[in-house]
Amino acid sequence: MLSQKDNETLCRVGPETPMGQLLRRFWIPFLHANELPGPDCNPIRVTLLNERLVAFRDTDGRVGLISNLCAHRNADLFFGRNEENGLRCTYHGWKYDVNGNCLDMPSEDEDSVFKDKIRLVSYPVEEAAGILWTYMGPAELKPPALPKFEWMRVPDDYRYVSWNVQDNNYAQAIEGGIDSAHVNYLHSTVDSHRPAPAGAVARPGRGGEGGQLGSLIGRDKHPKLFVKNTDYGLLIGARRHTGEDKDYWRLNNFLMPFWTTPPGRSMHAFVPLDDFHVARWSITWQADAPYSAAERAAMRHGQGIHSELEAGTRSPTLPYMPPGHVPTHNRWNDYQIDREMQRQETFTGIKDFGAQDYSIQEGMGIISDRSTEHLGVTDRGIIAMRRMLIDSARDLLEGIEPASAHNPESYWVHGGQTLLPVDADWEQAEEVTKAVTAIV
Amino acid sequence: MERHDAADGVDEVVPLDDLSLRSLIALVERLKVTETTDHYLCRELELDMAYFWADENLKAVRKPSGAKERVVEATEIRDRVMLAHDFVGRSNVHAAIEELNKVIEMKMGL
Repeated sequence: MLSQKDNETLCRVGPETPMGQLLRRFWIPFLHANELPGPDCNPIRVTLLNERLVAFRDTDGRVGLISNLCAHRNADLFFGRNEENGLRCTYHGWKYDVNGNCLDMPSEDEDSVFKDKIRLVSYPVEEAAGILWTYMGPAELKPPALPKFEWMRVPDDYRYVSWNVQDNNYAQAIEGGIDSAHVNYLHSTVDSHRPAPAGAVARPGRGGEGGQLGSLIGRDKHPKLFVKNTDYGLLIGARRHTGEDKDYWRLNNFLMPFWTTPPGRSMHAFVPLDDFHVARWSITWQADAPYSAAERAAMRHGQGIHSELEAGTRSPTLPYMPPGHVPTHNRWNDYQIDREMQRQETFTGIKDFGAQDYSIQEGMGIISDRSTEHLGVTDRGIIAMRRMLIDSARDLLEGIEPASAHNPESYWVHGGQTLLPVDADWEQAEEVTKAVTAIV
Repeated sequence: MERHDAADGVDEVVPLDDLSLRSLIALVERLKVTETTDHYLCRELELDMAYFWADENLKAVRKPSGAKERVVEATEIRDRVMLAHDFVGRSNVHAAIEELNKVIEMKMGL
């Protein structure tokens, strides 16, 4: 439960809001780099943290992310001409560079210096790991580097990245990302709710690589959740009894301000586009081999944490975005739920793993009314995450900067799973550190 | 009245099955020894449950035949439980205890 006031603090992300200020202290992924494929390519509409922007790549290959409205009379620069190191408004010809500086005002007198006084809002852009990142906060507080993620250090073909638009506030998407308990239900098969077969073998392994380890989820449908504060955010441990001398621990991370890691080499970023939409970034990677063409094709069609996307389609509720990020299984077609599959095979009847998640998150309402919810014992991680975000936003109002924004090295983790002796101190266990520490 | 060991259940989420004086006093006792992040998470969950019961009580007295003063009192109790919940969320345990003590006094008719 959250009071309406706290819920507003958590969910509103515009530039004048406490959470909007906090989010603007971090580097934010906003497009695939190849969505701006080359010099002077077509500009792209971007909505980010309640701001409407235009992204373009200039003649020299530099990427600009600037206000979408021309400073002259608010014409939409998406319709501008991308030419000779600048984006020219098609209304009266005003032209802007990647930093938002007005370069040319052909409609004004030739000796006018008016253009030198005009500058659009613009944000710095970095290109790394095939992603365009921006920082929207005060220039003097820009973090020294992008977060140090393992997947950013592997070769490009060892990594697969996708993103899709969801019609809900970002916070309820993060909650799904760190909620270990829902795995027993939302992502389960019908068979898993029948008595477990005898003799299931438990084998320890590194996060996500011990497939049989994951099968232990079904042994205990009442996981106990534990939370540890870290430099990057939270480490959330879900302990499940196996009926043997070791417990199964599933380890999720919440990394400030919107990253989550399920066990294994996969990660989500739930980037707020506005108060009512979130970009669900999904990243999977391998440490030691490239993905094959078949594996990439499978992910493109919704395997694992990725979602199949409808080419060329724009979100009907968020038109100020590039096309191609609306999932095939979406709220407009009830996520293509198959009721027969729901009776016989999977708990949801929804084929796409990611759609199973966002069918729930979108169904909560665009901004979930948390004053009406009733949290249970498995929601500790969710409470801790909300509090961390709300407290950090309030701290910022008091002048206390979020330390994690300036500690990119601390992001050197991923999710994991391991076995620990019953009654082990999970916070001190070497197995836990090993399971969540990146190694590439 | 039954005595409660202050440390009883501080590390656990203790289910609240009602908003009785006994439940409230035990919750206050746990709040008094709440120190760690994990303790705060447990207390917040317990206050979630307390709010549920406070809200249920309010719904019960809001019937057309219900006395107005009972509605006012139940509303105040619910609002104070919500305040206590939010204070715990801000790690302000003293303010949370203060709110719950007021609820206890109201329920005792003081």
